[in-house]
Formats: sequence, structure tokens, C-alpha cells
Amino acid sequence: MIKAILVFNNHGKPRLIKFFQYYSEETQQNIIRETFQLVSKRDDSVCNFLEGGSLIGGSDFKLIYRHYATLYFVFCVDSSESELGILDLIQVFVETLDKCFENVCELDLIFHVDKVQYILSEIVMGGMVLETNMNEIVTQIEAQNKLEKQEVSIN
Amino acid sequence: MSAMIQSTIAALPELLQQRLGMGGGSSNKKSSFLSTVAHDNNFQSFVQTIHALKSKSEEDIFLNKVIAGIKQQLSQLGISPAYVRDLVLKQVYCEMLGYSLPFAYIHAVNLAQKGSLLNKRIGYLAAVLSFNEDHELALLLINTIQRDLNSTNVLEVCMALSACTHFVTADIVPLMLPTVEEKLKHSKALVRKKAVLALGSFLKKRLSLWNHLKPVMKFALADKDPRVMEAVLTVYYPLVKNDPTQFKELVPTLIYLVEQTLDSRLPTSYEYHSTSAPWLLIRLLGILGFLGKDDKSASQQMYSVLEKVMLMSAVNHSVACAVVYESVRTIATIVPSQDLLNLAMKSVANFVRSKNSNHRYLGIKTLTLIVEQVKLSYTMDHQTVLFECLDHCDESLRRMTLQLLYKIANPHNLNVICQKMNECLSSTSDPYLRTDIATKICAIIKQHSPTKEWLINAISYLLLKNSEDVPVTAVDFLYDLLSDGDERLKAFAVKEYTKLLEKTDLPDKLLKLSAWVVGEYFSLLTDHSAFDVTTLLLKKLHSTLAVDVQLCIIDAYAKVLLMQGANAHKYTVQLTTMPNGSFGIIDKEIEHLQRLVKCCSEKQLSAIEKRPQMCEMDFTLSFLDKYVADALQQGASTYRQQSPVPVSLPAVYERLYSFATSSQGGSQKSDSLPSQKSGSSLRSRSCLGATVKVTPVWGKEGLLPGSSVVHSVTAASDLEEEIQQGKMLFVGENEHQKLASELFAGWTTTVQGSRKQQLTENSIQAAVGLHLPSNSSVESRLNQASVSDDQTSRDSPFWAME
Repeated sequence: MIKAILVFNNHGKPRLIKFFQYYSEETQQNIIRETFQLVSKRDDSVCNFLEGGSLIGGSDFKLIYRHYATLYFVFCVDSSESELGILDLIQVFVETLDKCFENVCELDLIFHVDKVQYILSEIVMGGMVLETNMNEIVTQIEAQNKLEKQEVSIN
Repeated sequence: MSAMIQSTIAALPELLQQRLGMGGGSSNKKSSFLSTVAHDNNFQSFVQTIHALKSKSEEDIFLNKVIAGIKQQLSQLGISPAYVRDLVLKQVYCEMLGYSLPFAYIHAVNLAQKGSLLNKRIGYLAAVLSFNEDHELALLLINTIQRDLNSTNVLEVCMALSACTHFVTADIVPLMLPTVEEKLKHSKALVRKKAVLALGSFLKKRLSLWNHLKPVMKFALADKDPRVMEAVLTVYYPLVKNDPTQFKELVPTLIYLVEQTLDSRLPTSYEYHSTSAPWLLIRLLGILGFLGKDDKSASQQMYSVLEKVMLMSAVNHSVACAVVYESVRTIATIVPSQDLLNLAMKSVANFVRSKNSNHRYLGIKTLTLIVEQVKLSYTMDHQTVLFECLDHCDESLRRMTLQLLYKIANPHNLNVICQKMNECLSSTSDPYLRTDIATKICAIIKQHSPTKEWLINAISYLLLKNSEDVPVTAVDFLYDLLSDGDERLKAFAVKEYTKLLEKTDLPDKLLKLSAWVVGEYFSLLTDHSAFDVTTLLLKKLHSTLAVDVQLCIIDAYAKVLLMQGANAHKYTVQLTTMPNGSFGIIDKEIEHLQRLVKCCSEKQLSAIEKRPQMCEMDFTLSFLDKYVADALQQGASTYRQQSPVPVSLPAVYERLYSFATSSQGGSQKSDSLPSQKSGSSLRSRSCLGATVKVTPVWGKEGLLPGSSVVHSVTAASDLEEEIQQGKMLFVGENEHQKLASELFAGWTTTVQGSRKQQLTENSIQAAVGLHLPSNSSVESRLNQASVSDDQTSRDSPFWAME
């Protein structure tokens, strides 16, 4: 089960946050700050798995993160998920974003938050992995876009 | 008319965007993707402005202005949905940055309810990100979700199913269940898949649903689309983990599925970096692991397929490694054959020796799992790597290695492992990790320590360095060990702890422990005189210490003091030389102690000290028979049994009691007091009457027939004798005797061990309530006594009530 998905940049500014367990606004910001502190301290040569921080605090969960250029993608998962599997899932997510936005960069995430959230919701639903095939995801998203466009032009 | 103008205006930015392209990216694909959304320039410019702001304070000012603006605009009537959408998007963005806009939630819900696909999507998105099922607006949304579930538009159904996982509470599940179940038969695989996961989320909220959903899920498992099947497995995983016995019949199905996948029977679209359906394989192997645990027959069925997985080629890419890692995990969990184990060990060796730090981490993790199955000698092969990992800069790797060390601890390597763990403990600052390591160290010490002396030393060392992290159970274990230990052990302990007391800056737990040991077993101490010890104890006493620590020290001091018998009063000089007010709350203790030493004769003092080890608690209070007889003669009425009122003693007591009673030593539980584990023992003490069956002894006429009087009516001269025998005494008038008796209250004990003395305090209070005749004068006197007890108990719980 996935507890949270966080994307923030090298300075700790959140670019995408999705919690599958309810936390208040203030707690969310604290978690983001703390996770950033934990993750930014890590060298590139060490492993991508982290334990610690109040989001996890002694429980079964761990943080699995990947660093791409200016962005950190962090998934907080429990022991039912395979660590390497999640790493590859992050890769799939980023590749999908790349396909949808063409050479995705941080700006795309900033200006199209809702789109990115939508793509994410096609990959992970309710804390469980929904789809891992990039092509399927993209097909679904393009279908949605087409329908929406049709609606707008009809109106 | 106005609607048309509005929509034209709304469409304008889109047209403009299409002409000019977005932010430099002019390829057709990108712009068409982006411009399918009639995003108002408003939102884009809003984000741009934020992005351009340099500092947090500027951002604060800007956003607060924007939020106020949004609030005002949303409160207007008749704004177009497109505009609302734009504002809601801004709300989502602001919330991500940490500013909450609760007034906008209702608008998000409105958007989701009516309107176009786009509005619905944004509305749902905002709702999901802003609040959860406990919010009041969630119910409104449920309505919308139900409507959307029944819509003909596939996209709406999908959106509704996704929203189900967020907003459906356990109560609403029955409402939604039929609709969602129906979706399992939908023509589109995507809808079926989402329906399965939605049902999975319902199951999490209401486990009782499983009986109902079992056939449904089974049917879905056989779905022709593998993705639906994968979703079912995702739902099954936590269920199988909890209770594998229910799912044993799945074993052949799952094995078949693994074989199919490995044989590339799945279409090529399932391939990811030349591995066919890796995530599906991982999930399957995980479930098989749970099913095969401790089950030889199920495990045997899996051998061939596991072998196949292990021999998979192309282990270059990380996802193939993931599958191999998962299969090693499975092998470690089930009952494996020797061949499988060999294969697994080879893989583990590869992982551990790999240059990739992720692989090394996983290697150590699997090593920890597999070490239970194979001989310890196997881990010796990896010793060098292990030690390297221990000193690695990567904290995660260090943690994992510590786990492994904990698993392989035995009496031979205990020393080294403890040392390493101590080093890690002192180098980390994460409180959870510290507690974890400290608990582990205590566990392995308890299990494997060569001698008891070693154990005492090890735990004391731990307490010295990191006392906050050491679990309470470890400290209690020490108390028990010492109480049950033989003379030699006690002598050793008291020597060590006296040495320890000479150090400065001892943490509280250790100070309490040392004081207790010294006081308790002082008689076994050979190389320090009583004077040395008492000076040492007094030096440690300081008003800044916690009250329970101070009390412990004074307790120990008193024990040593009283053992000196006739010379006791020489020591009071020490007390008087302490500066005034350096004791705070225990000032009274000191005072009473001085008085005690002054007043009591040597015989009395040594009687206090004698502390008979094994007595029956006399609930009939037979030594008070004379008193009762006299009172009855004078016309007092007999006692009317009332339900005991729990005495709420102050926090000071509580701490003392938990220290004293948190581990009831040994097998000597006298049939009187029930043994409790900690904390709440307080109330049980005072409700003694409730737990102990006491039969009434006295009636109106005098002694009830059938009740035996243990002692005949005694004369005053027998009082001395009774004191000698350590029985309780409760006589009012005489100052000496009053003091001695009140002190006795704290000292006579019936349960084994001196630290249980304090109990009798309470037991008197309870017993008194039960037995003495409630004559008005008698009662008032009693009440006075107990009130004064109460008051003094606030200051001086041990002895000397005044």
C-alpha cells in the first residue's frame, strides 16, 4: 500500500503532493519539509530507500525516492510493496509524463498540476497500484482529452 | 446570449494558445495536449507570478491577497462554471503550497456535481485533495458519485470509482456495494479493474464484507483481461498475509499463472524491459510466499516454478532483479528444498557483492531473512562485506546490517555485536531508531549473555550512555534479576553500583537503580563503610532531581542508616549539615527520619529494619481487638459495610508505586495482594477491599460467633512485644508510639521484598475503612487521622505521617 506520493524540487518546494491517508494541512507541510530534509541529505551513490521521519515513525513504511535533475519523486510505501518494483513504477510515471508533455520539465509540473494529478490517478488509485503499462495510461488520458475537447467545442 | 459570450470568451485563450504555442514548445502534439483544456490564462498567469516571486514573505503577501480575492469572487452569484473552475484550480495550488481555503470546498463539490467532463474532473480532483470521508461535504459528494456510477459515460464511471476510494466511509459501504459490484461485469476492462480496487478499499474499511465478496473476487480473478486479475491479486495480498489458511486453494492457480507469464504467453504489451509482466510476477510470488509458509505440501508444489524464476536470464535490468529478489524472499519464507536454497544463496551473494547500493541493501535484507534457514557459517562468508556495510556512509544500509546482526547474535559474537550496536546508537539522532536499537540490544543481552554479572554490567552501561532509549522492561528485568539472585550476585551488584554512584551526572533511571541496590544489599558490601555510603548518597541528593529519584535516594539512605542501630543518631549530623531547602519536597522525609532516629530506641530501630519477610496479612486486624472491644462497650455501633472509595493519591505516589510494583518479583505472591504490572496498580491498591474477601468479625454485641480472634486482648506492656514482632500498631495518644506506629505503617510488610513496603500504607487506608466501628467520635478521629495522612502523604509518602 502506498501512503503518500510527493514531488518537490531541489529547494524543497512542493510540485505535486498526494496523500492516501488524511493529514491536516499543517501536518502535510511538516511532512513535506521533513521528507525534503531527509532526502536532500542523501548522496547520489547511496541506495534509494530511506527510513525515518515522522511520516513513518517506527512503523512498517519506508521512503523510496528517485532524483531526476531538479526534482525528487518520493513514494512512501509499506512492506507489501517491492522496493525495486516501486523504483520502476516511479520510472514508469516519469516516462508517462514525458510522453504526455514531451520532454517534460519542472515547469510543466508547475503549470499543469491538474494534468499531472490526473496521470498519477491513472497509475495509483486509493493507495494501490492500478496500472503499470505506460501505453495504456497514455491511451486512457488521450481518450479523456478528446472527449473533453469535444465537449468544449460543442458548448 | 450571455452564456454564448461567456463561452466565446472562454474559448479565446485556447485559440490564442494554439496560435502562439505554449511557453516555447511548439510541437503539435504538445500544444494539442495542453490546449484541450480551456485553461484560463488567469490560472497560468497566477502560477507564473508565484513562480517569479523570490522570497517566502513575498509569496505570503501575494497569496493572502489572492485568497481574499478568491473568497470574494466565490461568494458572488452567477459566475460561470469555467470561472469557478479556474478559481478551484487556484485553490488546489494554494493548498499544495500550504494555504488552506476551506470556503472553496463547496464549490469544488458543485463543480463535480453538474457540468461537463472537464469541470467534473477538476471538481473531483479538488475534493480528493482537500478533504476526506470525515468531512461534512463528503456526503454531498456521495450523491454525485452514485449518480456518476450509473451514468453511461465511461469516463464518469471511472472518475466516480476513483472517488469511491476516498470518500466512502464504513457506514456508506453497503449503499455503494451493489452499484460497484455491478461494474465488475462492465464491458471495458478499465472499469472492471477500477471496480475491483474500489471493492478492495471497501474491504479495508469493513472486513466483514469478505464473506460476501469472496465469490465475486474469485470470479474476477478468472477475468480474461490479465490486468483485472492483477488488480484482484493486489486486493488479495494483505488478506493472504493476515490469514493464509483461507486461500490455500489458490496455490495451483497462482503457480499456473506464474508459469504462463514466464512462458511469455501474455501479449507483448505486458513486457517491460524484456521481462514479461514483472509487477504481476512480483505480486504472485509474494502471495505464494505467504501461502507456502510453514506448509510443506504447498511449498513442494512451488519448487519447480520457483526454480524457473531463479534461472531467468537477463538479470541486467533492475526490474528483472526485482523479480529475482522477490523469489528469493519467497524461498526464504516457505519451506524450501536444498536446491532452491542453494540457488537463493547464490543470488544473495550476487546482491550483497554488487556495486549497486540498492542491490546491496536488498542483499542484506534477504540475508536477514534467509539466515534462519541456513547455517550460520554461511553468513561468515560475507563477513567482510558486512563490516564494510556497518561503517558505510549510507544510513539505510547501516540499519539493515544492524537488523542482520540482531538476527545472528549468539553467545560467542555477543560482545562485538553489542559494541557495534552501541556505536550506532550513539551516532544516530532519530528517536525511533534509537529506541529500536536499544530494545534490540537489551533483547540479545537477555537472551545470550554468558553470565548474569555480564548482563548487569551491559545493561548498566546502556543506561549510563542512553538512558532515555532503554525500555522500561529492561530496567524491571534487572530489578527482578537482582531480587531473585543469589548472594554472590547481590554482592557483586552492590559493589558495582556503589562504584557507579561515585560518578557524576548519572541519568535518573540509573540513579534510582543504584540507590535501590545499595540500600537493599548494603549488608553485603565489604569495602565501604556505612559512613562512606551514606555520604555518597547524600551527595547525590539534590532538589533539582525528580521527586521519585529523591525518594529513592532517601529510602536507600534510611535503610543503611537504620541498619546501624545504636549508631544511627551519629549520622543525623550529616543530615543537619545539608543546606536548608536543598531537598524541596522531601524536607519532611528528612525531618521525620531525624525524629525517628532521635526517638526510637535501638531495639525499635532494629525491629524496623528487621522487616520480617513472610507474614500473613491479617485483615481482621486482630491486634486491635482490645480497642474495638472497648469502643463497643462504650456504645459504639458496628461498622456498616460500604463500597470502598478509591483513594486518589498524588502523582508522587504513582511514580513510586510503578517503580516498586511494575515487576512483581518471584513466585512469592502472598494470597493477599493481587499483583499488577504497572501504573494502574495504584487504584487496585486502594480498592483493596473490593478485591479481597473480608468477613465481618465484629457485631453489635461483640465478637461474632465463629470468628476467631488471633490475639487476646493485650495490655499496654504487650505493645513493645508486638512492635518487636513487626505487627501493625495504631494507637492514638502517645506521641512516641504514634510516631512509631505511623512509621510502622510504611515499614511492616507482608509481601516479599522491601520495596513493597509502601503498599501497606494503602492497605491500611483501605482496611481501616472496612473494619473499625463508625462511631461518630471514633469516626471523626479516624477521619482526622486519615485526612492528616492524606495531607502528609502528599509530602511524605514513605514514613512519618503527621
